[in-house]
Amino acid sequence: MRNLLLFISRFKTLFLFIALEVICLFLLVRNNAFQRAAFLNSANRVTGNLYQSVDNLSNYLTLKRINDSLRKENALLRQQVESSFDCRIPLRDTVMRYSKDAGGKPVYSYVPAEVINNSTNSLSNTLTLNKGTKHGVAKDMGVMGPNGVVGIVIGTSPHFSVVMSLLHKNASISGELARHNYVGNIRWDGQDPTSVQLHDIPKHVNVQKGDTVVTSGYSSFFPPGISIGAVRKVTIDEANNFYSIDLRLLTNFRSLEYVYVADYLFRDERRKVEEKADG
Amino acid sequence: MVNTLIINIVRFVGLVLFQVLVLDNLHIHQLIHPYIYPLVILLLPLVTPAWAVLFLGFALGITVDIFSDTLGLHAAACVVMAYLRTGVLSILTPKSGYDSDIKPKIGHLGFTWFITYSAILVIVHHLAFFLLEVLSFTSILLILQKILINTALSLALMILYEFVFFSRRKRR
Repeated sequence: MRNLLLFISRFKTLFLFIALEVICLFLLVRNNAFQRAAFLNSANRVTGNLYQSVDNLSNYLTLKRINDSLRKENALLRQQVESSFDCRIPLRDTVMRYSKDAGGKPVYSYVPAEVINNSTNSLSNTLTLNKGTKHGVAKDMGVMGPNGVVGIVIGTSPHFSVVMSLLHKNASISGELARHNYVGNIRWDGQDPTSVQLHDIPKHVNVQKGDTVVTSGYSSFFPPGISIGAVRKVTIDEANNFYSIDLRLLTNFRSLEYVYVADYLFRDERRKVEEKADG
Repeated sequence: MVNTLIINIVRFVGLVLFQVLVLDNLHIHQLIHPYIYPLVILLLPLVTPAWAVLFLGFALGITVDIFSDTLGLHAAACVVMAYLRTGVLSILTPKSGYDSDIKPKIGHLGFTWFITYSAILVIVHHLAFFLLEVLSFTSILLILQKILINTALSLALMILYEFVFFSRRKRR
């Protein structure tokens, strides 16, 4: 027993080092799982309020750009107002029938929010928004900016929420080639914050440079038809039957200021029925 | 003694705030992401016991992690750095040994000493950080680029800090 104690006291720094390192790695791996937010994240009261007050300050410097982008978006929305309830995307399969069956009721409601913290330089980029559960934001809601998809909510507090950006190594959403209605999987390779990759598009599809890619509506995160990016480069991979496609993102993640959180009003119903079907 | 404590607390808070509010918002290029906050560990008094350095490294890392939503990542890198600090300090001991009133700063031990000391530990920190960030070796070239560029930038920032908050050793 005495020898054991001597042994421990001799290497106490090493043991402490190993213990702390194990805690760190445990935390790291635990919140690395897909769509798992850290339980201590930037949506808490202290960091959230700090980011908010700094953002209030820096907003004055970008007022002109924000105004411009809001004005452009207003113009775009005005064009769509007539068709917005009777959706402008051609109905196909089962995707948009919800809106008909809902009796003209909207399928999504939107919570406007301000981006108060934003990262683009790491491999797991996140955004912090100044809206939380009190404003109706919940986990697994889609977030979009004026130019298209931004990310998915992964953590919330009463007044703030954390969003996993599309530029996150764990992010994966389904995207569709608007011209062909072929659905693929969009992921980010961690290299360039202005582009993402579209996978699983079979080689027989005629993909052209400049084709737009929109959300498919198979998932409940985003309404269908929200723009994501345009095809920048198509490479044919000899090894398998799929293209590897590089997309130029329409959203500039470095200058995001205002976003909308899309609340899918039939989320619970859909989840329930899907769970039941899975048995 | 109390003075040193206050200086270190202020440095901790100040550098963490500068890191998360200024440096983390530099959207210049995807490779550029310097870290100045490890300087908190580098500048701890030489007499700080090894276990205290480890705990402080852990606390520092977790604080930065909470701000950047990467729980465990900065902490793991900081703890590695904090653990190796004692060893690096004893390797770099000057011939006459460390005097009791000496601090690990440029004004006390000289420019070359400080560069060597901080370069070794910053490389350790960045190596651990950027490797743990991907948890794989798939894009090793990109990671190496990031480590090289950001080590240089972080070191430049730390030296800048040292000259802005320059303090010479008091002659007795």
